Order: sequence, then structure tokens, then C-alpha cells
Amino acid sequence: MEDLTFFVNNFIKSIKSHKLYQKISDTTREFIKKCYSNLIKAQEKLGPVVLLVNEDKIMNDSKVLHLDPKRITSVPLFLYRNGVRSLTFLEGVSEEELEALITIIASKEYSSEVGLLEDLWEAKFPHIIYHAVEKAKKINEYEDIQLPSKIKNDMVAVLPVKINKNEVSQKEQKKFGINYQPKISINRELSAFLLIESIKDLLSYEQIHRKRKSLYMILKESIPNFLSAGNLSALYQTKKLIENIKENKKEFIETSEEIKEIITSEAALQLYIHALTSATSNRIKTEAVELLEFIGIKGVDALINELEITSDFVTKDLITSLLKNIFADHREELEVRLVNATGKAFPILLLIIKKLKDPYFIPCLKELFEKHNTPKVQEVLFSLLPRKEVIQYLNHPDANVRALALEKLKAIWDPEEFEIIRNRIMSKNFWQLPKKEIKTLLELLSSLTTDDTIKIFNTILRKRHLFKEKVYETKKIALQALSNNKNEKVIEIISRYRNSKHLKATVEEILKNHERD
Amino acid sequence: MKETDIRNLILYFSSSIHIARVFQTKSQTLYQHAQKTHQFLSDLFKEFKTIELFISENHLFFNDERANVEMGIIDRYRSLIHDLKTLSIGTILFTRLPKLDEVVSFLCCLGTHLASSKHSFEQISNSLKKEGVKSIKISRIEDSKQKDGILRSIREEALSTLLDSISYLKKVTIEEEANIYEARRIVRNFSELLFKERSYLIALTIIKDIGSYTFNHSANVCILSIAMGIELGLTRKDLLELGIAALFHDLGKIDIPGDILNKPDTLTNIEYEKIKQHPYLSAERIIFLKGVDEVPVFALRGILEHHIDYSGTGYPDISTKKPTLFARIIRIVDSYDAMTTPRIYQNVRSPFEALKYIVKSKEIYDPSLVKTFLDIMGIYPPGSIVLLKGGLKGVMISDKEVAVIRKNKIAEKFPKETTIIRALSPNEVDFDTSSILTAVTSDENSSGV
Repeated sequence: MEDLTFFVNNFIKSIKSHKLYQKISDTTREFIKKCYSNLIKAQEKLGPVVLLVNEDKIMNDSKVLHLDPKRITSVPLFLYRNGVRSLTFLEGVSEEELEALITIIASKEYSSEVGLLEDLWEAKFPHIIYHAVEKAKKINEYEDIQLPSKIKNDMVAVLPVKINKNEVSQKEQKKFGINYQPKISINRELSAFLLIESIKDLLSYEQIHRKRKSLYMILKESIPNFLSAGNLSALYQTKKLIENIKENKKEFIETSEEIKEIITSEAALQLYIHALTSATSNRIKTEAVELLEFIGIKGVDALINELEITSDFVTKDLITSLLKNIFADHREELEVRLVNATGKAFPILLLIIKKLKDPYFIPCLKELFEKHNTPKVQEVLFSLLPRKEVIQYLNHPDANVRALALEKLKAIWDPEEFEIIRNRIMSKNFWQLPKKEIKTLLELLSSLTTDDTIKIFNTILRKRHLFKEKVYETKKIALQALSNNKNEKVIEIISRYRNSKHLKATVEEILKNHERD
Repeated sequence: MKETDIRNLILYFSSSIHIARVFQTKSQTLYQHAQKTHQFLSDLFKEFKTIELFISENHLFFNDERANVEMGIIDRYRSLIHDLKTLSIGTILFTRLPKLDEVVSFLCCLGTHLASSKHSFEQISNSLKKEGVKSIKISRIEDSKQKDGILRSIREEALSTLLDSISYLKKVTIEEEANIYEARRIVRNFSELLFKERSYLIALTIIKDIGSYTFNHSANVCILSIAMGIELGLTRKDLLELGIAALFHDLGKIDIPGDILNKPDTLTNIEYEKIKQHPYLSAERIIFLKGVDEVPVFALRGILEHHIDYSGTGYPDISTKKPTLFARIIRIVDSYDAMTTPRIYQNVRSPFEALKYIVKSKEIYDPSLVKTFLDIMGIYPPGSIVLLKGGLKGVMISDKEVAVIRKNKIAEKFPKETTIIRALSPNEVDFDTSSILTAVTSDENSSGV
């Protein structure tokens, strides 16, 4: 009997300790261990242990093992209020089973009068049997419901009847053409998805203000669970839902804003970035991208940080295009960040500006160009500048800038551009320009086949100069550029130089290529 | 026999049967329990040549001595009697000390049959023979007061739970106090009854006129859905949610005017649109119910989709492509119960005809679930009216029992066993099925042949 008393005392202590710490702490674990060892000892002497539950005590037969006057924190009272009248512990019970029972009891509030029996029923303990009072009333106690007119029971006889069920069933199944048995299970991972779908469906139907509000509240209350479970898809669904349902009423807008606040919180941001960088499923990645876009400007710092550290090209591309989409609506923000950016953030922001292709950024870039004339800034600036402005840079003192400007032009579009190029070629310092620039200028000129163009080429080819090597180099470039236009007149001009000692090889190569084509 | 011996015998026996029912195999735990039981029996055999356990009038007798049990084990005592009666076992006779293996096989056999809801005495008897259990003999509970007593008490419990559910549904529609916990309690009670006495509870679903049609129908669909869930091997958590879905699936109809619901003629478009709203209304009934701290999502979805066919068509117009499991289950049993109900706008079908229609409609009902439903209902589903050999007509109350009306109170000569000729349509009989079904629960007087 001593073991039984110790068992019950430790059982109560385990429950109270579990309730106090809201988890199985070391102290709780110690109590459970003692409780279990006392139970085993008691079972060795008594066999299955039956505990009777009363309002203020727990007994075995008529012996009181635990007495607790009706206090709020009384375990017997709590069990009694919930309908438990006895607990039987069969031999073979494991410590885990006992712990599970203690956890179920401890998970409820002392004042709770519901849910315990349900949890015990669901747990389906193999070695712990509970007896409870929760059955329906007697038939004649339902005053509000009338049973069908009753035949006296002595007028009814029950006869055994013979049906060869298997035979009939097989015959019928053959007739019905059904031969397979289903394998069924519920996928609880779909809970969040189905909840959102259902709320969406109900909102599409419901017009009553009060009910609509309640539906929104149910959704709102569920989101922290989605977040703590890392259920990105559910958060994505929620986003879709609040984006698609248009509400005019102020309080709905408020609730919608509250929902938005949760799904754009810092915790949510971290979840989305984690999904973006580590998810293997493309669907999850796509959802993460959309959610990050939804967070918008609040999330760019984290995204830029991630972009700085990631080495994965796919992730890099995803984040870059994401930032592009976000900054498309926040140009001023991007401008400010660019001006103040340091380290790796600067080229990242420049790249995003390049991708945005928005002339809005030209003044800012020009300013940066003046201050820090770096190749990256030049590149982005020229990618945005209109042709007319690009042409202005053909006279820039920096050869790299001029080269970039020429590269951007690609071809001569109008007489005005032709005039600018012609002047540049016919200028005095043309022959002193770097070879690459000369080549680009002449190729640009060859993009236009007019008599004026040919005249300019002729002028170059006839040029006499002291620095012969440089001159012939330029003439070779001119011949190559001119040959881009393979008409007869051009070929005829080129042919004139086939006897030139310095140009012969170039001419022959051009003519050979011409014949082959 | 000493009181402590009786106490121990009850405790060891009931515990072992419980363990066997849970594990349904000759597990290590069962061996441990069986060993104790065996040890205890061997002690008893030092004193007695044979040991007989006998049930009479809800009491257990040991070698003709009635067991006087103390309060501490009264639950176990009742549970043991209940289990044995459920299996139609009236007597267990130990002709000599059984071997340990025999005790294990015996307990395992009892537990397995209890767990499977296959409670046929013949099957248990055959299983014992097959297992080579020779020194433990069982005899069938006499077709007399004892058996009737336990059956009546379970059947009464079944009927009172049915009334309980209808009373609850009524409360849901008129009172604000109704809460989800009560619904869950009802579903748990239905589930337990279906584990114990499936056939009778299913037979009760042929009653359609307790309270209003909607309440009675909802309770019936709840019973049949849980029976399907049990057969499909759903977890208890899932069963609970399925039962809730079934209980609430049509409650939205309460908000639709009765003249539309009961209109004998074809409905106008506007009226039909109103009918089509009831899944939404039913879903809201559950979502806004008191005590719902966590929305039973699968139940909610089941309710919303219960008029969506297996092929994906149907109403309401929601995002579903393929209905969820609960919806597919409810779709079948809802139709079955509706078809077997006489309504002003439709002719009533017999259970057999209703099943036939369901089986044929492969676009509407999930064929694999239909197969499960057929397994449960059998060819003559409980509640069916049948024509018996010799011209008698009766109501099936289980797969092996039929209830017939006596012409007069004095005992008539009925055959010991009867054979079914064919199923009858409700229009072919002049008696009230419901009355017969409720009569077999009554304990006012004894019944039987």
C-alpha cells in the first residue's frame, strides 16, 4: 500500500510540476520516474492498479491515497469535473505511456471542464483504462423529442437469420464491378491550405457584415500558426486572398492591414529568405519571391545582404530580379541608397538600375559619373542615356568614355549623327586617337553607305603622313570597315589599293572573302 | 472462493482481454498478462478440479458462486461481463489447467474478435479450435434473458445517443449555449457504440421521423459516416472530425424556408439557388459554434463539398476540383439516407435499391468508398425490410437477426432459424419499421422467441 500511496503522490506532483513549467522539466522528469517506479512496485504486489476518482480524493478500494479539499488546483477535482471516475493501470504500462497520460492531464487548465476525455479517447492508451461519465440521458428523459409510436416489445420477436454474407457480397461485388479496397488517410499537412480555401469560399458567399468580419478574424488568428510552423504556402495563400478580396469598409481594411502586417513581419521575412535560398522546390521558391515582393521595400536590406553572401547563381538572379521589381515602385529609395551605398551594395544597386532601364536615374548617375568616374558607373549611365546625349561624350577627354559612347551608338541613324561622326574623323586629332577608337569610328561610318561616306573613306585612304606605320594601320582599318559594305563601288575602290605595298595583303584578303561570299 | 481470488480473476481477465483487443496479436505484453493469469489459474486448480465462469443477469458466477465485487473494481467487472456478452459468450469452462500457450491463444482470439466488430460466436469457436485450445471451452450465451439483457442495454444506449444527437442539433439551431464539445461527445459515443454493436446502430438510421427530418437525417448521416470511417481505419482524431462534418452537413437547411425544402413540384431557379446555399450555411454553423478554438478544417471542407460529385461537378461553385475524403464519404451516406426516406417530392427506395443506384453512379460517388459502404451495409442492410421463408415479413436488425411482429402475445411457433427470400420495398409492408426497431430496445418485458 505504501508503494501505491507514493505512486499517487508522485502522479499528482508530476501533473502539477508539468503544469507549472508548461513542459517536462528535469524536476517533472524526476517525479515521473519515481511515479513509474512506484507504480511497477505496486503492480508487482497488487496486479492492475485501479484508482477511483472523487471530488476531493483519489482512492484505491476504500483507502484514501490522496486528499485535496476542493481547491482550484486540486487534481482529483479537475479529473472529477471532466467526468473521469476511475483510472486503471494495467501491467505492462510503459513510462512513456504514463508520461503521455500526465502530459494530457497537465495540458488542460485546472478550471477546464472540456476536452480531457476527448484527448484520452484519442490517445487510445493500451495499458491505461479510464472510466468516465458522459453518456446520453435515458430514452424517456428527452422531453422535447417524441419517439415513433411504439409497438409493445412483447409483440416483437427476434429471429436468427441465415445469410452467407461472404458469398452474397462477392456475388454482388462482381455484379457491381468493384474489386478494390481503398487505402485511406487524412493528410493533415493540408489543414492550413483547406482553411484558407474554405474562408475564401465563405467570403465569396457571405454578405452579412458581422459574419464576414468573423471570417477575417479566424484567418487573422490562424496566421501566427502558419508562421511558427514555417508554412510558407499558407502565408502565400493568405497573401493571395487578401489581395483578391476587395473590401470598402474601414474595419475590414484595418483587419486586412493587420493580416498584412503579420505576413510582412521580420519573422516572416526571415522565413521567406530562408525558403528562397534553401528550398529545393521551384514552387516554394516562386512563392517566396512573391511574398518578398509583397514585403517590398522593408525587405530590401535583408535581400541585399543575402545577395552579398550568396554564391549560388540561381539565387543571385532571383534576388536581383526581385530587387528590380521592388525598386521599380521605389525609385527615390533606390537613388538614396545608391548615393549612400558602400562595399558590395554599390555594384548591386547599380546593376538593378541597369536592369530597370529607367531614365529617372540619369541625373543621379551623371553626378556619380562626375564624382567617381568608374567603369561600372559609366556602363550603367551609357546604358540609360539617350543617343543624343551619348554623342556628346564623343569629345570627352577620357578615351574609355568615348569608346563606351561609340559602342552605344552602334550605327549612324540620321544626317545629324553623320555630321558629328564625319567631323570627328576629319578632325586634326583623328590620327592620334587610340587604334580601338579609330576602328569603332570607321565601323560606325561604314554603317551608312552613301557617296559622302565613301568620300570620307577615300580621303583617309589617300592620306599622306610622316608617321607611316600609324597611317597604314589606320588605312587597313578603313579598308576593313569599308568592306562591310560589299557593293561593287566599294569593291572597286578597295581594288585600287591591291598594288600598294603596305595594303596589298589586306586588300587581297578582302577580295578573297568577297569572291567566296 | 476467496474474495481476493475473485478480485484477481476479474482484474487479470479483463486486463488481458483489453490488452489483446488493443494489440490484436500475441504480443509480449499479452504474454506477460497471460502468464499472470495462468499462474493464478494454477493456484486455483490446486483447490478446484474445474473452474467455470458463468454470466447470468448481469452477474458473474465462479463455480456457481456469485461474485461480490468491491467498488474499486466495479468498472473492470462490468467491462468483463460486457465484453463476454458482446462476444455471445455465456460460459468459460476450464476443464483442466490450460497450457500457457492456450491461455495466450484464448485471450488473443477474444481480443481480436472484440476489436474487429465480428462478434459471431461460431467464428470465435472455430478460431479457438484452429488455435488448438482444448482445455478452455466456451458456450454461447443462452438465447434468453441474459443475451437479450445486454443487447437491450446496448440498443437502448444506441437509441438514447441517437436522441441525444437530435436533441443537440435542435439546441444548436435555437440556443446560443450549444457548443462543439457536446458535438464531439456525441460523435465519441456513436463511435464507441459502432465498435460494440454496429448493426443495430446502422439499423436505427432507417428511422427518419424523430424530431425534424433535417435533424434525424443529420444524425443518421453521422452514424453511417463514422461507420465508414471505422471501416477505412481512420484515426480517432479523424473519426471525430468526420463525425462532426456529418452531424453538421445539412444544418444550413434550417435557414431555408420549409416551403422550398418540402416543395412537391419542380423548384424554380431562385428556389434552387437557395437550396444550393445550404453547404455554406452549414459550414458557418460549425465555424461560428461556441468553443471552436481551432477550426475543424477537414470537417469544414467536408461540409462545403458534400454536394460536389466525385467527377468534380455539383454545387456550390467553389474552388474544389476533387472533393476531400470526408466530402466523398458524406456524399454517399447522405444520398443513401435521403433516398431511403419517404419525402413529398420523391418516392422512397429500399436500402437495396438505394445501394444499387449508388453503385451505378460512378461519376457521382467515389467507387472505392462505395465498396467500403457495401461491405458495411451488406446485401440486406440493417433496417431493410425482408420477406422471409414462409411469408413472414421482418426488419433486419443485424446481419444475422431479423425482427418480426407477433400476431398475438402468446408465443407463436417460429422457426429456429429463418431464411430471407428477398428485400422488400417500404411500400410493400403495412407496418412501421421505426416502431419495430425501437421496440427491440425496450426492457419493459423480455422478448425473443
